[in-house]
Amino acid sequence: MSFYLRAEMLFLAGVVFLIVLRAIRKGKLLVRFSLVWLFVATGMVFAATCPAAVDWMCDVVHIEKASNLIYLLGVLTLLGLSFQQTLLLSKQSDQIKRLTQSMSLDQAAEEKGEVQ
Amino acid sequence: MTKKRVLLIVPAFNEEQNIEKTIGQIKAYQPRDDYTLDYIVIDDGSTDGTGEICRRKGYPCVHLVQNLGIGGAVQTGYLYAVRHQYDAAVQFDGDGQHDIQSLDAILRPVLEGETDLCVGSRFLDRTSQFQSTALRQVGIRYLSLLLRVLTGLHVSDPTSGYRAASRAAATCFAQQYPVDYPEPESLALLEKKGFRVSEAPVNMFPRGGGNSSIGWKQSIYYMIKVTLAIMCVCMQKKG
Repeated sequence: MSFYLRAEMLFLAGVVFLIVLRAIRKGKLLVRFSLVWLFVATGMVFAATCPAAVDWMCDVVHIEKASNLIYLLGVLTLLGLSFQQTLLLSKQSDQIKRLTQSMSLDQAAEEKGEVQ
Repeated sequence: MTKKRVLLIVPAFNEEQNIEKTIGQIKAYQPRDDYTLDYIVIDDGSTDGTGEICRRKGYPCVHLVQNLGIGGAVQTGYLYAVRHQYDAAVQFDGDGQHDIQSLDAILRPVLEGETDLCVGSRFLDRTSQFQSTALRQVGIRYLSLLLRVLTGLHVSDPTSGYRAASRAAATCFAQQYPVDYPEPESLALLEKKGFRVSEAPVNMFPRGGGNSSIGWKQSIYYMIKVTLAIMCVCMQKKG
């Protein structure tokens, strides 16, 4: 793995750490949702500092260049994260619907004087 | 003998041009002696004067605090029916397309325990004043065929929103109801859960005013989404 790719990965990992930690500090990101991004950044640091591990993985999955493997892992990680977000979105849409229905029904009951 | 209680669920989104006429139709209707008929308007977060008209006229109404779409609105009606322990619930569109005179045709089989959901069909005897456009009829026939092949259900008008549900079916819908373009998918869902579904001829009118929520782009999305949804329901375990 080239020196430049490793340096770029370290730089990017630093940027991710910085953005995520700032977002947590400002209360824009919940800690439980930040873990996955911190995990991704840690993975980048690991790949940059242990190129032998990346080369070994290249041999295992029969990918010639370490950079190709890094990009493949990046794409797969983003696809996984995107799918996870879609699942969360579906769950929250249903929760919002239930909340809206419950609130509106309670409000209607109150207007009718069914609830004291 | 105690009379059975029936609830008309009237979902309405931006129906200021039709809602008074629709409710007028319901109020003027004389139900049979063996049941009492109530109605509830579900104002689906309308941005026109629909909610205001309901308040001013004193119509029983649930004002959804935000727009949920037809599935969410109808499900709210079923939740209301379950909370107030109605024996049957009937969906009746707020746009004035459904003819209240056809109510008994779909309600009788439900009240007599012959079926759990009775769908009002425009195509059973072809006497309905409104049959939809030729293109939509092709889509409806396709969905009817799809339901028949995948679930064994014989329903000639699977997109009809004029339908009567027993207490058991209403309870099922209160727990689970598709969100958008729900009618055909909800039929597959009921069948999968072992409920009995039938149909009866009804009359429908062309829209009095306002716009249909389904344009040509939505029609394409509708067909793809509903096909996929019915297939997914069929893959679920029975019961």
